[in-house]
Amino acid sequence: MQLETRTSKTLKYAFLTLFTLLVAFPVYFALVSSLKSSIDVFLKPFRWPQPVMWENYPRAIAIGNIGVCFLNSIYITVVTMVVSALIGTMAGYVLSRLPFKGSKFWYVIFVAGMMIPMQSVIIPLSFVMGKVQVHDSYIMLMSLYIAFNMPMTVFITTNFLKGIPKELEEAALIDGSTRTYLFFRIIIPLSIPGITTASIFNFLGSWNNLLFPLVFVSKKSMQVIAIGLQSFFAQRISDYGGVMAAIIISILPPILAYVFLQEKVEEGMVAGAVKG
Amino acid sequence: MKRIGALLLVFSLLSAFVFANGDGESTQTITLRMLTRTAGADPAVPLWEDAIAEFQALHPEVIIQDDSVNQEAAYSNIIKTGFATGNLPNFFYDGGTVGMVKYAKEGVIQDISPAFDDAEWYNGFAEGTFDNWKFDSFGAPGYYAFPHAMSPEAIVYNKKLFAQAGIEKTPETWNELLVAIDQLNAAGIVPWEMGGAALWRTGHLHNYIMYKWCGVQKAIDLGTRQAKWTDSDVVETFQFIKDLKARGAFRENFEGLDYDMEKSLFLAGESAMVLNGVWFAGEVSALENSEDFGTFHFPYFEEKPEFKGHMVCYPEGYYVKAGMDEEELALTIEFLKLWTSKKIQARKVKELKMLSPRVDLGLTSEDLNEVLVGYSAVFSDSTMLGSDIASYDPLSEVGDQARNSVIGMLLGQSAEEAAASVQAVIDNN
Amino acid sequence: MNKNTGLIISFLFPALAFYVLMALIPIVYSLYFAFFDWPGIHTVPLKFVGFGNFVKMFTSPRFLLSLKNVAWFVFLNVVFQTLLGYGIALLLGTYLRGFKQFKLLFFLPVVLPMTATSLLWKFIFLPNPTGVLNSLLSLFGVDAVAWLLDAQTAMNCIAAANIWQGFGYHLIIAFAAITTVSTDMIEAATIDGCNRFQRVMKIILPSIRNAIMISIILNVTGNLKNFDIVFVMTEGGPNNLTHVPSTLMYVEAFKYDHYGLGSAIAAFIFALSLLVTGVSTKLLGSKENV
Repeated sequence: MQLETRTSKTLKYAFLTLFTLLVAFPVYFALVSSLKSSIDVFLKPFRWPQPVMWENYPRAIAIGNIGVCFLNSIYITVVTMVVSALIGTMAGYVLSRLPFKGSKFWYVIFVAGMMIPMQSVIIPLSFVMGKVQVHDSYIMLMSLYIAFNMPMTVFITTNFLKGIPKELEEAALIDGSTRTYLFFRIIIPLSIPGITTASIFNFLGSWNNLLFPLVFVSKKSMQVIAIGLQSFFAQRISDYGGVMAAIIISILPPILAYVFLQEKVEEGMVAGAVKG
Repeated sequence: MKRIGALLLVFSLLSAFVFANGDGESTQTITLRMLTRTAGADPAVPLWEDAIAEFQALHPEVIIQDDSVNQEAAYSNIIKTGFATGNLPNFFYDGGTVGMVKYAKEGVIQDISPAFDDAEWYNGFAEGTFDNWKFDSFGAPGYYAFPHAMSPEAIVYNKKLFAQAGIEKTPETWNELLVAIDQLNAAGIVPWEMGGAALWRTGHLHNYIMYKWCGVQKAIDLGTRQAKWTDSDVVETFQFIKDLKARGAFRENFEGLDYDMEKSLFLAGESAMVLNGVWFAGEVSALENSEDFGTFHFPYFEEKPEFKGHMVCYPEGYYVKAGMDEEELALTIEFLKLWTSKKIQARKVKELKMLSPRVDLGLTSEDLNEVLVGYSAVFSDSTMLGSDIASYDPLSEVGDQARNSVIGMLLGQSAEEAAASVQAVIDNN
Repeated sequence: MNKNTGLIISFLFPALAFYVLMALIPIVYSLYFAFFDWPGIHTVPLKFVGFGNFVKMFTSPRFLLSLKNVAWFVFLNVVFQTLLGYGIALLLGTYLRGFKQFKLLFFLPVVLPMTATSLLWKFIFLPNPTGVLNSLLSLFGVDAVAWLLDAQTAMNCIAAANIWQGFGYHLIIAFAAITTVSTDMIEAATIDGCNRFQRVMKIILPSIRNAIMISIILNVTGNLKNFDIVFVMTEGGPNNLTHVPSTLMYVEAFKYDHYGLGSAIAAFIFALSLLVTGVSTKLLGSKENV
């Protein structure tokens, strides 16, 4: 690769560092605030915490029932993510590489769903659930998430899979493999970057989602992290130090997930680059 | 890698089916769902937990599921969906009165007057308490809620800061209030802390000004459409708020300050007064320097001495779902009676420093600190009590617009425009 | 009959089943609501009002303002999220030392819960002189700005918070796309004497055109219906001046019990999305060669 001049490199770093400070500031603010008392968070936003209130963290965990919410959220999100990735890629494969009459139609049907505002389906959904007398069901919740993940996932996978060279498929087919085998053994590994991108969206969608668990899950023991955060806003009392602590706690799994997935993305990207 | 992926997939699918549906409950238990706004960090939570534990000990076949949620938007979501689908909790909190009439008319909330037969329990409440939820005059005969609180509102002030500004006597009239504001400003103290971002803050101010200037009956008349928002005295109530701002009563850009910030600033001694309800008393009492705080009644207008005794008190109640079978209804009512019983309510006052709608608690001066005494004086000194202006109007948009218009006015509109926009909502409906 | 029919059906079915049952049918049902008036009480039947709700909607100044707001919001997001995402990806390249760490850092805002972000930014934008931004400004002798209180600046502030949260997505997409650009072409161009700038403009950008289109579409559709951030930061205020259609829909349905009107707004948002998707698919489709 061509070497860069030193000045351009320094300029780059300077800009990037400045930009990094800008981006990181709010999170830094949350971190510092999580160790302050509520009043200090308001009155002295920039002052270093004094005294350092480590107890905000255990309190956050206790009051928000964060521990349980945490596990629930992880469970729901992981299952949703895996199922969405699988069936989304399957659909994407069909829509992108097996043209059939009406494939464009189905594609548009899927993608149009990206616009469905979640609020608008609450009433009809609760109606149905009320009739069927289904409450506090994780299957229901996860099915909802999977359903709402489909537009984005299908969109990403369809477009991504379009980029896989036809010759690869043809070679495998000539060699006598079935399409299913081809799909699981060849297509999926090649589409890891696409799947990962979609999965990141899906993970975050379920992780952050507040509305559905709020309305459809009422049992405390089944609550999720987004609800746990809400419990800090008592009707007439607040605990901003604790909220910040809870925020910091709740962003750890997504960060870890990303770090883990990122390696997969690297793998896929390198593989892609080598294959050309 | 692929193997791991496949295993993960299989595991997650299997566990989905195994763990997906909550815990199985035996069919003999009855689950009562309750919904209040007391949850999370709210100090009243332990008291609820005790009440629930006590009730469940009495009735082992019952499980009380507390679905309470703090935040207004979240809470409103659940309630509204409940009404829409019929999946209401067995009982739920609401701070409104007239707004619930339509549900009473449709028969989705329960008339609880049969509970009055329990004389010992019933007589412990101040006379007329339950009338707040009597909807006969609206076409839905019956009493529809158990009292959560009768929450009076008054001005809480910082005695030290008042002294610093040279204010010797707490203001009783509007003019005296204005003078006090000037004195505080001269001393470099923010006179009145007001978190304008939470619309109900300026809304509550408007409540008091309305009742002191036009009387409580005016609000009732507005709700029954016998009076208009464009009447000159109503427009004047808007103007008073604008005048307060012009006088420098509030912090700069207070319209963007939210409620928690307002409280924190005031409690930290950064301002001299707030207008708040008795629910605030607990936070004041919890301070180390709580003796620095006192209360006084919202000033009256010298031109309108007839409204001196008109004060603000918010009836907040627990509504009960209609259509339950006999046993479930009986259990729900029994639990609510337990919550509003002497024992629990006494603890509410003594431990949480909140007022109770019961008057037979035998409280001593040790139980009530100065701030609480100040709030109770609203009951003894008032000639007529009014709640939220919005609560007298069957249309929720009206109250909403009234509050929004106050802010709009503070940000530049005139009082006439503000009043007109509220009337427009009524006329368009 | 296609010999792949069995495969097509079995591969398409799961995704379609979930989607149709749990998302599509409910939205159609709620669109049905748009033609009725309903106070949101389960015992009260629906009252047919034909196009009444739509008329009310299109003649409501609040709704028209919400359209203006969302258009501006989407515009800001598309421009800045794409610029930042792709610009930084190009700047970082894959050989700049520490690029992985930068990538991780810039993605950080994306993983934060929406409630958390909105709250954080609400803090930062506090209009009083001790608010975070205003304190900073006062260091430079600038007066406190009203930020979320001023109808003019409020939408920009909300957009800024949303851009901060979202550009990391596009950074990732950009990275994924850039690495698929054939290294042979780049090397050939370098040998031919192209400088970095030309490489970017003539080779990399055109190759990742698809990804950019995808980013833009995702941005548009995602932000057209964006609810959380607007709702938490301003709730449509002050005085209903920062409403976007999705927050208006929520308020009409859940606050004022106008479920019919709320559903009409939802129908509108959905119709708009179909339009956008249709148009963009055409655009994407026509760009596809080879």
